[in-house]
Amino acid sequence: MEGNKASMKTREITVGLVGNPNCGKTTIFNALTGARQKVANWSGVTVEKREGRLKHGGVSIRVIDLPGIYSLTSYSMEEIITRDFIIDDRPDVIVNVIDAGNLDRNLYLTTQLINIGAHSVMALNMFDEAANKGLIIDSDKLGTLLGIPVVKTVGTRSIGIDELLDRIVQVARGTDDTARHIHIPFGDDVEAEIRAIQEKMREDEAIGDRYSTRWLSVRLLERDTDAVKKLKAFPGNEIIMEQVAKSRSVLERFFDEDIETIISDRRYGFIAGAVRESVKKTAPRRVDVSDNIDRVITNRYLGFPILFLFLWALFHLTFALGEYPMNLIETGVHHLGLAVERLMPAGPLKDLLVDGVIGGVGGVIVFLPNILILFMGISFMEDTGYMARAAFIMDRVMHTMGLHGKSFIPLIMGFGCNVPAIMATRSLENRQDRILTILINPFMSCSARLPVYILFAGAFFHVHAGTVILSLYLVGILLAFVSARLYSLVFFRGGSTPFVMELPPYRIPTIKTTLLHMWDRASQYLRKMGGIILAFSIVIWFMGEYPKSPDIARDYEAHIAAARSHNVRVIDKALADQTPSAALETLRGELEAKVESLEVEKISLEKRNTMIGRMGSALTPLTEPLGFNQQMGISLVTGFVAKEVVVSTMGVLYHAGNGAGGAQQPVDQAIRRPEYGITPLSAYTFMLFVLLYVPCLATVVVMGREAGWRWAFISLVYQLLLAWIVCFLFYNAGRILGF
Amino acid sequence: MKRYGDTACRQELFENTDLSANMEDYMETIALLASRNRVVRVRDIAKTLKITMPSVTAALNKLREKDLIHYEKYGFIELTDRGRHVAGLVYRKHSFLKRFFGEILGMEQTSADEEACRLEHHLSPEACRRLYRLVEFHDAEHGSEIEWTGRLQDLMDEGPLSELREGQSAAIVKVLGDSPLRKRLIDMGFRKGERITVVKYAPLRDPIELSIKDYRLSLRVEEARDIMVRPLERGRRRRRHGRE
Repeated sequence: MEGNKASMKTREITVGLVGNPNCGKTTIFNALTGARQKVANWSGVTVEKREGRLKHGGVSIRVIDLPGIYSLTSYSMEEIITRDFIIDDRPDVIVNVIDAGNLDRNLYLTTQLINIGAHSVMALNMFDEAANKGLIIDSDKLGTLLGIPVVKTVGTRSIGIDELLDRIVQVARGTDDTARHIHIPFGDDVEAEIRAIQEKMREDEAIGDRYSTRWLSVRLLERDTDAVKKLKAFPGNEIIMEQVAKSRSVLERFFDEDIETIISDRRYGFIAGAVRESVKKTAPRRVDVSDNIDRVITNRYLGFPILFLFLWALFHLTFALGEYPMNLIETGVHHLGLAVERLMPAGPLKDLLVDGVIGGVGGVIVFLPNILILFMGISFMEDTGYMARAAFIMDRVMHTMGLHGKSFIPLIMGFGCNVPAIMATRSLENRQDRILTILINPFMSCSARLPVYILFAGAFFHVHAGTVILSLYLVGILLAFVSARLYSLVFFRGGSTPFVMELPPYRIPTIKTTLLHMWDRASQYLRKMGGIILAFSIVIWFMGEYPKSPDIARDYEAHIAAARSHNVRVIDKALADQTPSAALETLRGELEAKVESLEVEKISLEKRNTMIGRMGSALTPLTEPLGFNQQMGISLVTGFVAKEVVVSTMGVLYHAGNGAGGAQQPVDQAIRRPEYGITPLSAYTFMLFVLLYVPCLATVVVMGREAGWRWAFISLVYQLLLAWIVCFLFYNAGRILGF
Repeated sequence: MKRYGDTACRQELFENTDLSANMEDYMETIALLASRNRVVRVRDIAKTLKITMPSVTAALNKLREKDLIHYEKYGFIELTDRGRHVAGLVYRKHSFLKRFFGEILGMEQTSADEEACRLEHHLSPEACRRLYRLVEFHDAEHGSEIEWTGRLQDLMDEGPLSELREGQSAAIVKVLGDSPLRKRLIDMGFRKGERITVVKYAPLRDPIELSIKDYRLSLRVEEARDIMVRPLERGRRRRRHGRE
């Protein structure tokens, strides 16, 4: 270590942040790096990896925020990632962030870090809160006992950050006086067995070069599967494993306890000693308000009303308040399109740019207000500690679905829009819970599906429209339940994950953390999902426009021109005949309607001829058994981009057929015309299909990004199948019953 | 080795009374009232046993036929010599069974009393004799260094965490099972002897909010079933009072 002191000065120092969940690790990370962070995933898993860079006194430091863990065993993905990072990547310094108000449990991880031989600096975080609790911590004494420099910090107010950085640099250079390697004593009997195992390991020098033999021995004793795997890489591991088995049985027989319990007991014993020597307890300076808040928030009678009120507010804020900026964005994009249209010569390139690209960009950024507001709310819930309480209240209900209490919030948000809702599943620590919540999220009927319901329910069910729409929402929830059960039966046989959830004390969130959180999500959405959504929407736009039908266009253009000149002649004649102005107006209206209907007819025919139109027609054998006509089939295909498009496509396709009647009819009247053969039964079936079949393009992309493309694909196939089967059964059962 | 209660343990002390459970209860009540009040009336018996006066009269007639009591209509009730002997048998059984449940098994006074009432009519003389010896053994050992009943009662109180009431504290005895959850809990400080408090149950009675070390944790009821604890407030302290 001393030898490369000179090179240390020039080299970048790598620092890993390790700590329990809720110890304020993120606030320390934010205080260290500010906005200079980037987020990626750990290779192969969807656990976030945050990195930031900074300079301190001329030394450049790279900080990596590791996932929050309670222990360095290998029971969860997060623990394995952290352990592998410490062992394989060998960071120069580990910053062990500790919640000063909860020393005992937080120090447990520290004893494991000591065991693994990491060079650590301890950030004794939130020491102000601990002081209010009446804890006086002698940080120097604690540091000496543990062999780790201890710095008192308050992450939210950036207190102690400079000193922390000083100590990081010192430890990295090996010049810190406090830093030394200590052994956590496990007691004579255990120590003797550890020595016996280490003895056997010394026979192969390669093991000692790669790992700390003491650490490996302890891990092997503790039956750590990952440690066994590591050992298996060395030849001659059988002898060591034999010794481990022998030592274990000796100890377990002697103590009449399993070895994990013995060792963890010794660790806690060591901690208790260290805490006794370095912490003084006095009367709390302030009353603990958390309990008083909880008396109301998780109250037997008030808990649910408060939760629903809060969610109602969050929902409204996200989707009602979010509508204003969304409208602004839409107008802005529209004007941008108009400007480009004016500037560019007509042609396919202009169409691509105006309708494909600009329209596509609009389709991407239109979700931004929702995402920003929702994550402001979620950040608030997480940082205050309310998220854990909401999960606490809802878990009983969600557990019946095989889900976690925290799944509740993303699911509710799904009623607004599935895109931010799926992003919100990041609050769920457990991967299985998260994927399940993502998979069933599309069944929460999002607001984009509402226009379709309003159109069809209004047209076919009149006064019962409200009941019909409500029934669709309920069917969605019911199928979410069923699907959750089905998914967990097929993919997550392991049963539900335990609900070990900490209820952290209530804390006041800081604006900085909230803004960083919002910025983080928004930029991730734009960078990771925006591009894909854009690319897909251009492809789909292309399929909706091409191939062009020049013959149809030419024919209709001629028809329209003829109709126009005919109109002019008729009007002129009427003027000459001195027709009263009221009658003239009616005449003019009628004539213009004829031209308009010709134009719509043209667009409709062109649409049918495009790739999407042809796909819709080709799918007739599949849509016919559900009672859908061709127009319905086509609009379902276009609805893949976004569900609102279903209505606009219907508008285009249905206006066309109504040439004979003169004046234009609104869509809701047009679709009721008997020649289309839509009955209330097939209308309901159609709404059911819209509820259940593929969520929109953006949702699929977000699913792919958040859960993995395999899951997005499974969900796509599953939902199509489910939609078809449910609709087929429903439609045919309805017909048999005579509807 | 010491020998306990050679005289008190004669078999005939626990002989069968040949009476029905109901009749035994009457005898016991009469004896009890007789020792408490100067005279015993039908009304008093009816009140104590919570039954109507005519039923009491009918039962008393039967007892008189068996020559266990002296009883004239509207008069006082007195036990005959034989009656005193039978009532003594029943009462003795009741009182040591009550002590067995209360002092040795560590149940609360009222429930120990109820259990004794229920059991006293059904035990064979042999079982009575042996249980009686156990109570005597307990008395003789009390105060000696070996507090075996203390340890026994700890064991008796042990139960799953999921059975604690809101606000109750307990000491952890063991985390059962072999699940990742168990390892996680051990890592989070669920060690033997650690104090744990049930802060509250969620509005739908599941999960549970717990307080351990300096933090709050929630667990589902089914998960809390695997955590064996010994309640701290209820039980021992109260039983100590009960011993006097």
